[in-house]
Amino acid sequence: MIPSQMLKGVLEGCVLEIIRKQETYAYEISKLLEEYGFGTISEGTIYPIILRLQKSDLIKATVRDSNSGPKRKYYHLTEEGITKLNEFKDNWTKLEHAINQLFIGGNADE
Amino acid sequence: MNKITKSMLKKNNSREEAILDENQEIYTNMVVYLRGSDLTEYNQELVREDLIELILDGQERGDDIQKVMGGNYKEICDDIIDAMPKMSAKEKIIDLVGTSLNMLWILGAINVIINFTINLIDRNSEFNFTLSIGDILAGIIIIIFSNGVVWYVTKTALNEQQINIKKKRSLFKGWLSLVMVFATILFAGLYFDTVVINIHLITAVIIISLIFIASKIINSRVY
Repeated sequence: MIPSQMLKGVLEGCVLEIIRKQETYAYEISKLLEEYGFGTISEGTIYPIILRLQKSDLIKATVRDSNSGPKRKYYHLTEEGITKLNEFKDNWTKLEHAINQLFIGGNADE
Repeated sequence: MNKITKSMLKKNNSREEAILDENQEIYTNMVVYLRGSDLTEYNQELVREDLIELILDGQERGDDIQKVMGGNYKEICDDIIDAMPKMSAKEKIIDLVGTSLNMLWILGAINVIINFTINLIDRNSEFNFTLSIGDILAGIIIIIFSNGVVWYVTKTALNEQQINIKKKRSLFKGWLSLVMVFATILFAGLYFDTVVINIHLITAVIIISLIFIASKIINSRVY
């Protein structure tokens, strides 16, 4: 299981990517993250992230009927969301490269 | 509270009835905790609406609130509060004025009833409304105490360590402070009996009615 402190910084970007792939809702986001190997991430963890993304106008919600039970909020990316996601991907590539250099590439001083 | 918030509140009150008994306690504690935050009433209702839908959606799948929320309720609520827009300085002032006017007309109305009853018992045909320093002190003590109780209840709503012994201790402390407050009110009424306000009861009713109307107008602007 990935420690939650480690996940905190990257979860926003990952949620953005999941919403980019398909218009989706909180429970589905948590299930998809689990399928990708992030471990169990409850809707309680996802919900504040969704609020932050909405507050920054990176995603918008549409209320729709679900097949069973209550109405659901489905989220989709805004233009600002797409830009932010691309920024996240660039930053991630740099971070991944740096960590790989550190772990696999050996000591920079060598 | 404005009309939109009021209608959301009603809708949420009716929707939350579908929450199962086993999930009620934690849900209520989360809502109480959020009530103690500096979110506007409108944003509190927005969050409450989302929480209800998440819990009901979970119930449909057979998941309890523990599974839906993941367990760290206080941390989740703090994250939610952190993620939502805060009250602006203007909103805070309107909220404070609205709450103060509410307290003022309620305490005023109570004093009108007390004065009316005293006038009846004393067979006083002039029907005076008098307020002593003791009455005003008692009012201030009641306001401070009630605000303190609300603050304590909201801030400790999600304290997991509030197990039996601590609950008993805090109940004892609660009763003790309640007794102390009433003793102070009684003491203030007995020893600070210098009258500072002495007007006709009808004038007092008019003033309190104006405060009531002002509170309704201001509270209708609280978002």
